Amino acid sequence: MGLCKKILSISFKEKSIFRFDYLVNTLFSFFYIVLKVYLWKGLYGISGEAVSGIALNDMLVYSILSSFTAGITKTTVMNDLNESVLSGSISSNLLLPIGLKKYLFLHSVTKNIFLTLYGIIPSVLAAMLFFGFHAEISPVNLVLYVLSVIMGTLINFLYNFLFGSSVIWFRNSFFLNNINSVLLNLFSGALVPLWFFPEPMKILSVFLPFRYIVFEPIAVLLNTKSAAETAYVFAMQLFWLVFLFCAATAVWNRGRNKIMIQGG
Amino acid sequence: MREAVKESVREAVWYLRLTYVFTGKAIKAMLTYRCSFVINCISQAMDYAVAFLLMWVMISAFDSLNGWNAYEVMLLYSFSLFAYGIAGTFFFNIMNHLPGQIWKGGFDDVLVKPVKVLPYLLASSFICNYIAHITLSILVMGLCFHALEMPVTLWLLARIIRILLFGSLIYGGLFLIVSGSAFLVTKTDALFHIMFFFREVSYYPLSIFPKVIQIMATVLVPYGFINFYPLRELLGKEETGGLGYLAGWSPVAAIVFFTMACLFFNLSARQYKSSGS
Amino acid sequence: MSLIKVEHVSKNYEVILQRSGAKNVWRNLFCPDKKVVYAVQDISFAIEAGELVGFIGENGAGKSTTIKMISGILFPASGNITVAGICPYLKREKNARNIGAVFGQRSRLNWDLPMLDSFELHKEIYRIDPVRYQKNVDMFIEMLHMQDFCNTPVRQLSLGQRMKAEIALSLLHEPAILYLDEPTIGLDVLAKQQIREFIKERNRREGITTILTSHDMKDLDSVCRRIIILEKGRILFDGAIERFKQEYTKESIAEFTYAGKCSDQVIPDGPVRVLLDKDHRLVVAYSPAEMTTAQLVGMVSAYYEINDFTIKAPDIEDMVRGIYEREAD
Repeated sequence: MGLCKKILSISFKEKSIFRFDYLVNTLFSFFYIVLKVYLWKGLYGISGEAVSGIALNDMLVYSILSSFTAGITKTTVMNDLNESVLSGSISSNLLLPIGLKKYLFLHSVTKNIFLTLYGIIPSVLAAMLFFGFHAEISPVNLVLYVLSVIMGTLINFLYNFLFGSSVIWFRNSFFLNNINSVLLNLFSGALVPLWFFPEPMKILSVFLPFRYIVFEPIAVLLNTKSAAETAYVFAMQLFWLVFLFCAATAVWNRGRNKIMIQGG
Repeated sequence: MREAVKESVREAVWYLRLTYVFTGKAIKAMLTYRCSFVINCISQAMDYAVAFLLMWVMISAFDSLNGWNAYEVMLLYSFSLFAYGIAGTFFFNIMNHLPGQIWKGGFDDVLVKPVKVLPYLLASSFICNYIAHITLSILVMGLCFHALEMPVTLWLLARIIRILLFGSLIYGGLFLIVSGSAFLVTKTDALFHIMFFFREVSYYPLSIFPKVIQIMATVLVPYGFINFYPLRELLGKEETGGLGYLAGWSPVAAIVFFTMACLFFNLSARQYKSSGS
Repeated sequence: MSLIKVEHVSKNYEVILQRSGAKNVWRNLFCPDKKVVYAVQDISFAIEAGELVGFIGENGAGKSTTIKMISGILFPASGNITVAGICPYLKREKNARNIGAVFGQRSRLNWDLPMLDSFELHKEIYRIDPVRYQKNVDMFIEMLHMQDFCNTPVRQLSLGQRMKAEIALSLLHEPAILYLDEPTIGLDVLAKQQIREFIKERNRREGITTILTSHDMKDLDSVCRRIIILEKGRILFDGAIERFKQEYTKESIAEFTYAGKCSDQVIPDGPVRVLLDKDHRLVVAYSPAEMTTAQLVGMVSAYYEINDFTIKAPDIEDMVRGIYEREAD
């Protein structure tokens, strides 16, 4: 645990030098939220009638929350693995007194905490002040949301780690990385919530883990689900978590053996 | 007078030839990375295809976006993407490489050559990386015109090409302004952000945005002239939003903006020579 | 009339000082602290056609700025520069036809293609006559021993091979003046030697005026006949390399190995000074102006049974360092 703390604090210090770039980034991530909000307002039109059972206000709240949730669950582990395998630094990473999976996860999490603190939270707060944020969120839902987001973060990480490990065999994960980001954009609900999807796409999304990363945690927070449905979401998240963890561990162990035998 | 014209024509032809030679070499170099080039193109095509799909999903769920149906908005998007692809083919590498060249001194190698700076950079920066953007936007345009039951006659095609031509010119000007600012400031991130933010804005009807963004996208950075104003006329939409009836001004806006961008670039390059790095 | 004439040229930069810390972000953006740095101050010199001139100076002494101004890349803040009768920065394109330039720290060759492809691009840019082009390419390939690698992608070449290609490239259009900025940085001995010979040969045959900057004083010693030493934007020395050696050489170093001592006495301090006497090695400093080598050996052999000796020629590097140290005092 002490080691974890150390890694956390070091990578946090590395990044916490305040720079002009971050100011610009924050400003523009705010602008992108603004753009999204006007887009939804335009779609709802002047009447603002509920569509697919979702009212304009819910949608605006969803837009703002999805920026935040997508930001916090994000991971670049596939890229990190790719770079460390190609540069050969993975061999020295294996010498760390901590599992590589754990190490990369902490790295990913600290990066996100930093980006969230400096980039996302200010822009989200600005958007809330600017557009108003009318949502009744019960403490219970908030706790469930936090739990669900933690699970979502783990799912996204494990998924990316699983496919990122393939770089040990394929030497290049660029294409996989891209397919992954496409699927994530499409099915996670980061850009368009699944409420508005046509039936075939909705069905497809049920069989993929992506909806449990952004869409479902927000749906839980906004209290759009019954208790049974909420339980179902958590059950599915747990299923994906266990499944991906086992798969990622199995693939990674094979990959690690390959690196240790062949020297990367 | 006639001599001067002849001379500049000769110069232009020479730079075209230089572009041809440079492009030949660039393609030869690219063939060493054939595989990653193809993968890159497919990836970009997928990215934009998903964006088109999501756009269709979103607007279909609501019937229309401020009076524009899904196919009409997708047309806006595809026109913007096409113009971006054409401009990027010529200008993206300048914008991408110039800050580094200035920073590391590589720009000096351009200055010791017996060439004019901007034409030379243009000749040496041609890239084929936008095949995916261009192909995909043509496909989407075809799909949309079909869905909108607008037969693509020669007359329509001519109007489309005219819109795309001036749109590309505006994007080219934007690329040049971001590139040129690299001579004046070390960080061009903010301008870069502005360019890509308004590119995002141009994917949707300008009329859904608040007045201040509409004015900015018309006067400050003339994105409205790339697709919104001309397509509104082409599709016969109601005149709502923007600064009124401006479709006819697109060519003027494009030519003036591009000329100003070229002037800005050349002045900035001159500034570099007097201040150094 | 000199080929290159530099008269009272100054150049200053405005440097923006970045303040660190969160509270200074806005200050850095809107009212940055500026500092004027003089890169070059009131320098004048003239270079005749066919000269081989070396520029010496520490980083920031003004070497690169001077070369950039005479090659037309930068405007001087004040003063006049004429190169082959024209003003290089006002008539940059015309001047560029007349010059070749190699900046050793970076490459102008296309990384993914063989050097011959970059040569062809150069041919187009400089509008070189095809016959002359082919003649030059063949000649340079032979002179620089580039046959083995002229069809290999540049990224696979060694540093020395790459530099040979760079120098050949810059001479393809037969310029009258050649600027070489650190052409031998990081190269092995053989490649350095070949490049030096090539530069000298081109100068001898074609009379190409060559201006060279280098940190390797041996480059300058073996290639240049004249050196210009810059320090903090001013010229410290401008003249023949021989004159420089005479003026600034005080002492040479001689190293002896000996079998034993003839007596218990040691060499008294005088014209010869003992620097080290250990493990049958004796290192002394002496002034060549005051005593010949024969006299030195004669004197030392009175005290030691000499096996062998070497004389270290006065090193320009040491001399230059001496000058800087003197300036610093």
